[in-house]
Amino acid sequence: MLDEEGTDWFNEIFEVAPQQSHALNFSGGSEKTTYLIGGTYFQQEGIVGGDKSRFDRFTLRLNSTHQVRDWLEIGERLSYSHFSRNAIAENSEFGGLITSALALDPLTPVVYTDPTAYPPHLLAAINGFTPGEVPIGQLLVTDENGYYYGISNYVRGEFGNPLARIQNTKGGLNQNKVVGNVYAEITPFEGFEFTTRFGIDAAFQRERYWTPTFWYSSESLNTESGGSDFQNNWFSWQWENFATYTEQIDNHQLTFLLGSSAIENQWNFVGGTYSGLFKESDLFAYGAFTPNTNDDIISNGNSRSLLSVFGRLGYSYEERYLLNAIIRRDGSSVLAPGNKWGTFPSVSVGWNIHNEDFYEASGLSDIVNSVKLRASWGQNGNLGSVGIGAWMSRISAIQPGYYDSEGNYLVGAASFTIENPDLRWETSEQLDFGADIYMFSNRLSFTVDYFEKITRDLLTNALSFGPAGNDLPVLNGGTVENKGWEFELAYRSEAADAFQYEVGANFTTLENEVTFLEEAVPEIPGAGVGTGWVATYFSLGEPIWYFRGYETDGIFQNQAEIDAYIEANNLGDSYNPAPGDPIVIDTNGDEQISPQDVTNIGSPHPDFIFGTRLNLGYKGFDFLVFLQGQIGNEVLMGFNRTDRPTANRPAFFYTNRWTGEGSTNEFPAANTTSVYIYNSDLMVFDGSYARIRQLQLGYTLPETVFGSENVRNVRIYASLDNYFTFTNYPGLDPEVGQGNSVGIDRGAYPVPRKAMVGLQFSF
Amino acid sequence: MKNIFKKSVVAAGLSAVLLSTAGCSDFLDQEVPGAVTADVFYETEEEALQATTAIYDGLTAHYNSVWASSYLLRTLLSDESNAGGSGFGDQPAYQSLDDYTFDASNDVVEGVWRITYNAIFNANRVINRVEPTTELRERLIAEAKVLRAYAYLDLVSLWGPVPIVLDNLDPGEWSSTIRNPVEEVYAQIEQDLKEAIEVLPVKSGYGPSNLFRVTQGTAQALLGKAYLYQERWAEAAAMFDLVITSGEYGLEPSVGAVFSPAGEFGQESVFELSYNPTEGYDWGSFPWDWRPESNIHIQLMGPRADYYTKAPEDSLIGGWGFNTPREELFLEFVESGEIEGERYWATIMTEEQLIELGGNWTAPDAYDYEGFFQRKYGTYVTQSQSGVTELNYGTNWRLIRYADVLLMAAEANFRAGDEAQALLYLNMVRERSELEPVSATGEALFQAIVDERELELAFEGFRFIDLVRWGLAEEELGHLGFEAGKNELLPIPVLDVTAYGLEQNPGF
Repeated sequence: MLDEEGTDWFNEIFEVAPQQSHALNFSGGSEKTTYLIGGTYFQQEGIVGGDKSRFDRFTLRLNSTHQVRDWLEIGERLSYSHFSRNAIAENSEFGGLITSALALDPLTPVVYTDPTAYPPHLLAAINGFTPGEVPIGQLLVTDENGYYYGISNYVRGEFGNPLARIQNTKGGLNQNKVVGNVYAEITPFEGFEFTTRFGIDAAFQRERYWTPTFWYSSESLNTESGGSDFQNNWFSWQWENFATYTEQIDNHQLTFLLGSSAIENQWNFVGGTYSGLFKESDLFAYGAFTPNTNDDIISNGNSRSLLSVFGRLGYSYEERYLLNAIIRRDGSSVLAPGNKWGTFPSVSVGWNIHNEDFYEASGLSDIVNSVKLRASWGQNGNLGSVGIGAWMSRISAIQPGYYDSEGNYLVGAASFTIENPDLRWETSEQLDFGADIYMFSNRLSFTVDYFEKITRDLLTNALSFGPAGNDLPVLNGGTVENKGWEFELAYRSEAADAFQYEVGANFTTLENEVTFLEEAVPEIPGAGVGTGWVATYFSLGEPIWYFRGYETDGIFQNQAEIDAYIEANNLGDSYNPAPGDPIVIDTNGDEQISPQDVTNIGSPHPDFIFGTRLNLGYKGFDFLVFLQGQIGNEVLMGFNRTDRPTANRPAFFYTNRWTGEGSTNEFPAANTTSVYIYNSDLMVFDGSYARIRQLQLGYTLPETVFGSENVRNVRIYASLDNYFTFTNYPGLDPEVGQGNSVGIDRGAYPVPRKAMVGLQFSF
Repeated sequence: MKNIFKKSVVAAGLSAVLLSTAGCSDFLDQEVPGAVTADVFYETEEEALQATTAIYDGLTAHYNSVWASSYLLRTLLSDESNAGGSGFGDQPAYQSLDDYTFDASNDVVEGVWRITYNAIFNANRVINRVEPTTELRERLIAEAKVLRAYAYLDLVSLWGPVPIVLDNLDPGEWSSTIRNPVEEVYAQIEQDLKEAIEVLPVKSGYGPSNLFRVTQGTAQALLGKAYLYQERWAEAAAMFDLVITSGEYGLEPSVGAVFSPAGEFGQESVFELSYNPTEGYDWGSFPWDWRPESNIHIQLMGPRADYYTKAPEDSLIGGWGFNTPREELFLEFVESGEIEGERYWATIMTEEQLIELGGNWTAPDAYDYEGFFQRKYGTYVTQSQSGVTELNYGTNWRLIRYADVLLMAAEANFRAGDEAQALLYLNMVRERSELEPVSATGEALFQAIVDERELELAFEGFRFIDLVRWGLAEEELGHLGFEAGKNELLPIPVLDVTAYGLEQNPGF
């Protein structure tokens, strides 16, 4: 039965989810030996899907050091963790769970509880057959009471009842991980120290999912249950050796460091898929219990290596003048011979003015306790996600097979990429000038920085030129510059006061621009949204991955306005809007409205980032507020698909719409398909926000309560994490996307609001 | 002194250890599992065969994680059918082609453009890297040239001037690449085909498993078509005559037989693309993010299963409802008087006929539905042999069949002034479907050829290009939205215009 309100799918899928975490740590030792033993347990259920998106983690930790001889220290760090996660689909405009909840109409109920009142389309489904003659009635999904889940008569495609989909999400993944290292520090003589350290990082991950049969619509169905089972193993080792030598000559302190590091990352994988479960139950969802003819096995493995050598020179004169110079060379196996190595120098200088004689003599030091001026310049290398063989025009025979005229399978072999042996390290160069100032007995601190970060040879994926006939998966696209100012101010109480407080704030300005592009690529198309719209671009003089779409200028109120607009801009036949449609601007002035008119309609990057922090403490009580936010970033609402016109839309599409002459000049008349609306600045919103990341109140019990030598400290706290967000963005969450999709809301799983209470013991 | 010496020895020793880890030069050598590079491939005959196979396979990528069928693109631009599907938002790129509202950002236009250039990329590799040292290698190079010519003929007839790419196009050359004039594209097509004709065997020169390969006859038919499109009538007629007199081809007993599984690679097949019904795909294993071996467009084009119940004796089952026939095609069959004929039944079915045979249709107002079902590339249950029926149609695309060659030959001969020869070829096609011979002359004969191509080749993807080259497109397609001076050619995909500087076609 439908109630008057209809189904609020968001209410239905979101729920309050418990989370718990426990930690236990012991540390201690003697003069020669120290140790730390610890363990944690963390459990969280999802706010969508409950235990279908549950996360569990256990960790164990053991660290120790031993002074074996005067000249030799050895030690180890070892940690083991186990986690398991059941995951549901999210952040995809193509049928993610959140997108399904956004798209589904309110007329469809969650379940049909009254068999005498089944709607005709449900009855048709119950009695119908798929084209392959499978009775649809067998495929319909029912809840634990045996009621059929609601089926939309309006919204089809990849979307489906999100609660039925949550129920049909089966399986998850678990991972065991061991990370550890052993080291020895040798000090053969004063000032010289040699360290050798060998570490491993091994992870073993099992993923197992299976899909029951289902029928959400004639376009979204599964007539045979099946599953997949994957085992991924990662093993890395790293061996580092470095020697430092420190020498003090009069007031000159010198430090030399020379070192090297070798890393190998290995990966192997085995997995398979199967179908035709004997019973649709977890107990039968293994390849061993399905017909072997339906089994498919996949395996793979590879290894990559990274070698580095580095040196550092440190110099300080009476703690007044500081100099630090580093040079490192990194070599990676994934690049082509000749481009494997990158060299990355950096240098920094500092001047502690407060250590100068004249400063101390000036008397200023009573108020301004310390002043330090800093300048630094340096480069870093980055290979991001460059894969093995990414530069090659690899020929493989996995997929492009063909059946001959007698039905025999022929192996085909082709390249799927264009060769790019020039692929090289992405280099980011950072220039920074700054000052640190402490005043009033160090209670006030002030830091200011001006920074310029230039990323050269930025690694990015790209859509290649069509006639080139193939893809270029990754290339060094160009140069991006980020520059801005950073301020940090904090003030705190006297250490001796009963009432303790600290208040701090930081503020960063940010300017982002693409300043150079490779000649081969005048611009790089980024992320697609929905079907057929490349929404972000990397172009010279613009912010990286800015949004590109149609620019609009209000809404046509009547035919006379349309006629006048077409006349004034000589648009002729190319453009046939109706009253209530957006006024699209002919940005390239070619006297027609065409896809060539798309232009910069917004930037996902903030102009300012800010944060404030307040700590209070009084007699065992402590209080913390931490607020963070950004201003000036824009969000592209990308989950409204033009190819699914019956899919639901956010309410403001209705409430804000144009309803007749003079009603509004802000939002167009109802329309589900126009690219001038959905691929335009009308879908770009201010994404500025401020979020209270943490609001915490704690109380530490007085020691007398336990009066015991054994328990030193007991603290109780309550915390609200990410609980309050202030934003004008009309979607779920303005903090969305990454890479070339930054700022695109495809129906993301929002940052959950958490309320927590906790108990801490120290012994 | 001794102390300094000791220090130096220790420091040197440890530094040696330190640098030894950085010293092994082969530590950064990279192995790439499952792939070889182009410089060590194309050596053996087996590798040359595999590289050639990949060109054929690339042409079948009508579904390649996106729906972008070269076949459906042309068919929807014609007056034979509507896009169909669940509604106007279902596959919008197909819908906008059907409605002539598409622009340069249309996904299908871009997909077909890229797939076609990918076939050229694969063909260039074989032509440039395989050494013609043996007969087999020479043949494979010739096959690649025919496939490259096929791809360029597609490009030039749909987009007009296009860049001629004959080797790897490095990123540094992308921005400076321009569109070559139509004449140069045709010259390249002719050169490739002429060279291939010298080398390739005739169809009977291949064994039964190799009938999917292009032959001397394929190359001649394509060359004839390239001449025909350039209105070089006599050369076209001569080339088609070579195919016809080769004795390598014949007409199947019926059009239905051509499109049955038994008709695949049969006597009427001059060139077709192979799909396979035995992969056993189910909903979980179907490669939605890649390209399947089955022809999923057949499922897309079946009568919309939500409303369709098949007739008990018929094997045409439900699908997703695309490519629904327009009434005007049906009326052409009515007008030509062959409504009861076999050729009609192999092409189209009315709702009344469906119900008469015991089937049913529940949605008379279904989107883009005019009362007809398409039966040429039909969802015949007999063409799917494994797994989930809907996902395993093995129906081949018939790219050139002998009846088409005969009709092109009729047209070329008519234009070249040989009406007798034109009538002969035209009537060979009609006779097969047990239709009365035509005896018209002059303009009436030309009209008869136009009509015959419409009915014989309905739903085969030729009509749009035919109408454009005959100058009839505005007359026949104007009511669908065709604009003269604009829609004769497709737009160059927007990315290649804005990012890489190719000139756009007029009107887009």
